[in-house]
Amino acid sequence: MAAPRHILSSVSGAGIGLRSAHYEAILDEIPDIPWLEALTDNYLNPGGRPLAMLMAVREHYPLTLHGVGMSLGGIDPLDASYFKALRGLIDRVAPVYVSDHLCWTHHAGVHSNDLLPMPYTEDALRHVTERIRQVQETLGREILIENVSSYLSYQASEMSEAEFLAEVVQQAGCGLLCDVNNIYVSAHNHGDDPLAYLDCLPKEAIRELHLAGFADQGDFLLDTHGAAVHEEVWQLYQEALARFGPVPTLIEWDTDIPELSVLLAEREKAASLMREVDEQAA
Amino acid sequence: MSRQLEQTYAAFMRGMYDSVDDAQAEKWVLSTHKRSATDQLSTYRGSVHAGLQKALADIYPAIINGLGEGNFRRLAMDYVNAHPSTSSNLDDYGAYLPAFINQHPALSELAYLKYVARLDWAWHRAFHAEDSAPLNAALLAEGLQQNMENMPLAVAPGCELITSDVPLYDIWRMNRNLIVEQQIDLQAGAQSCLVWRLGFEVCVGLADPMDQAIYSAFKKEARCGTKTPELLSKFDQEQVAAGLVKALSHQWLISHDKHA
Repeated sequence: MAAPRHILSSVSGAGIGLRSAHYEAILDEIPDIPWLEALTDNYLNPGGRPLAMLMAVREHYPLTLHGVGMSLGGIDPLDASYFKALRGLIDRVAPVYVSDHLCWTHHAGVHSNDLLPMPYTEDALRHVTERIRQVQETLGREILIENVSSYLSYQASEMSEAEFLAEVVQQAGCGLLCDVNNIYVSAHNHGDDPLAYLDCLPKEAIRELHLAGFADQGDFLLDTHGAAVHEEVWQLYQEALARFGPVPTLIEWDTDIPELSVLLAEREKAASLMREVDEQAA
Repeated sequence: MSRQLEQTYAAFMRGMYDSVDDAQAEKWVLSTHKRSATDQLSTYRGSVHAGLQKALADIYPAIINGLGEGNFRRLAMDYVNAHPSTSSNLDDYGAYLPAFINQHPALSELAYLKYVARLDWAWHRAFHAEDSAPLNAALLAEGLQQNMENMPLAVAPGCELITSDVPLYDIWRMNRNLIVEQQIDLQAGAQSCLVWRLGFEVCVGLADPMDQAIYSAFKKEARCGTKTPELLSKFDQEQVAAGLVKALSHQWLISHDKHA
């Protein structure tokens, strides 16, 4: 197999999430996007059109891989078959970053296929830190962990999510993918201060920011990835840029996926805000 | 890792598939002035069920068409409650739906539905199956003339034979909107189908007795010569040769012999 055209150690600027609805449009138009992020779990099957499309896109763009299946906070043993397939995908794609979430997804062999929050305790901290080290050793590379949106708090928690996340990153030696929308959604749901959350994060570990849309369910916000980025989240994003600088940023859209042009417009808005931060710093 | 973490996860996961312990959530979930512990837990249960039901809907479009969206939703809810997910890969979810349909009391009148579900599932598996290199036509012709006996043959990854006692091919195509809706005579006789992938396109075709015999013979890889006596006991030499050429050219039968 020919070596991918893009083997990079970092990405910059604003990218978009690669979704199957846009394969043709992206490959036909090759729009001016600095990088794309693929959902790892959509490409772990051994063959077929999705993988072929991913490799075709790979010829034109740097890629990052973002997954939901590691269950880093889980108790079940790490799924050897999952990591074997992931290693194979990493070898083929040569992604700039590999990321997953600070959460758990299955227990005692029963899966939720969803991102379930962890209790933020010292015990859980030791556990997830060790798991992340194990994963990084297995994959032979740094991974990024992302904060999840949450709708539930545990009585057992001993620290805030931001404190927990910062400790995990420091102790495990992994990178941080800071999802600005998730911070906003969780802060709203739990009555927390999103700016205090940003202030708590280790700037030097942040490799990537995520932006997406949520749905207002009345008494809580639901992270749907099915709408444009909300104004309040854009404002929080500007706060994040002011603190962390122009960190590579991704627009995610997973449900009710619109035309590619809509994503590109959102991407351009993020890129424009990043340029402003760059200019202010210059 | 503490016992407390294990107990918390066990309680959480029970709550994802069953609401019977919801009252217990007050013991480990922090209630707020806006949302009770039960409300918070049920948000996750709703999300988990919606995700799994969507996975089923993506895999079984012919069943949605056959039952209608409302009935499919009820079937999917029953299925998710009966069959929690056991894999990180959502593409693995839904394997037991054909058997579940077969045993579902409300669907006992629709005996053909389990076959339609099996065909949808086979289509889904073929879509994600490992790629296989087609046999070069010239080499195939040469192999057929010179070395067919030793040619190792196998059914391609993802290829599946669905046998049925109903006009499955017609029913399935109608429910996948591949043919204009028509009245289908359910007593019209049995149709069996082959599902395979040609490049990245999933193909579904009627499987005649020759196809079925070849499929059975090479479900596990075997040298052609070891299986021809079995095939020749049911068909004449010309039929067997034509059947093998058709299967190889349609690419649901493949050879791994680099010299063939």
